[in-house]
Amino acid sequence: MVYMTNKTEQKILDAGLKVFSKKGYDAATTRGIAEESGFTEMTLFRKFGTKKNLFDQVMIYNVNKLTDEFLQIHDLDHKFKDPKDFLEAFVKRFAKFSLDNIEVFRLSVNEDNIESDGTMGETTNFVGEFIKGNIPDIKVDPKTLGLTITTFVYMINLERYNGRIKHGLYDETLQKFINNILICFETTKQ
Amino acid sequence: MIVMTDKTENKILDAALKVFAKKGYDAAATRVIAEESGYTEMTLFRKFGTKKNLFDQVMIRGLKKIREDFHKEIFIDQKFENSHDFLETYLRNLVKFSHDTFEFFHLTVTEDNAICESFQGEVIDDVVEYIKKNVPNKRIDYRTYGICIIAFLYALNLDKYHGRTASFNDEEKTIENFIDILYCMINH
Repeated sequence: MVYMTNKTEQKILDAGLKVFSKKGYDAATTRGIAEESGFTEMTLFRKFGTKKNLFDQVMIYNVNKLTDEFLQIHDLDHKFKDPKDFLEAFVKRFAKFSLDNIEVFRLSVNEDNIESDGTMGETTNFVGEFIKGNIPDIKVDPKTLGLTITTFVYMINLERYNGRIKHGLYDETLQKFINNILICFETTKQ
Repeated sequence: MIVMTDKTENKILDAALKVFAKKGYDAAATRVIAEESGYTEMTLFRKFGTKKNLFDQVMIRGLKKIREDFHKEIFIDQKFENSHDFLETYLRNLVKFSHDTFEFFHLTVTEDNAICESFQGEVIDDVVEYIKKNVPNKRIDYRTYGICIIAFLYALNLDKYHGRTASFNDEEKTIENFIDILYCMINH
């Protein structure tokens, strides 16, 4: 995957992600983004043409980057014998990944644009398949379990992004969520 | 705290909720809200003073109404045959309720605002309290269980609000599957 490696464009894209995510597409200004990037508005328009095109490029670049990073999760594949260990590792990994990329997720979820319609659906499908592949005799629907995880993680990550919960409480809440899920996977003693 | 009940004010508050939810606080314009309400911007400012105060009043009125409706329609004293019956009924009611109040729900989650933060806490408390009442003494962490339900409902409604169906393309089946998972957690 070839990313735009031009340093100027990269800085503008990074600034674009930050400002679009914080303010939303409508309220974000090219002036604000330019300031954030350290370049002039003229350079921004020269490189990207319009605010809309800058937004599209921000989305395309970040969704591709996100997908590549996320696929690294394959190193968890078939690594655990006990489904409970797999789930615990997966949820923690997924939570970190989503938190690191919260701005992209927020944009995908909140902006009414066609590109992002696929992102959440694809993530959900992937997560469902991944769970199914690692817990073949799962008794609950894997895709819905995946949804339960991704929606919960998104919500507590938003809390963290908004400064509503601090680091310690975040970890505790995530662990309690994992413990709740693991109850479903306990085997009854014979 | 005086809750404004005047008809003009209610129309402006209705319009404001709609526009704030759609655009977010920053991008929402008082001019657009006024247009949507059918009144002038001057009337809007005369009644509410500032955009910030208008937003706060939207939230205050909204929460009051929501908690009233929640207690009237959902948080009812009812006997359930078993915990599965309870979950089915509660979830279905919550799905409908969260759909009807989505704009408000969306604002409490997305806006970086002190009122929104405290309201979200209160909503979570209400949802959890009803669960504790009907399914007591289980091994789950109740608060996290409640947040899990709220998060699911938020995502379900958010997709609909934006006209997307990717994650919830068979809503009925997804809800049933989710109830199964919730039941699983309290059935051990």
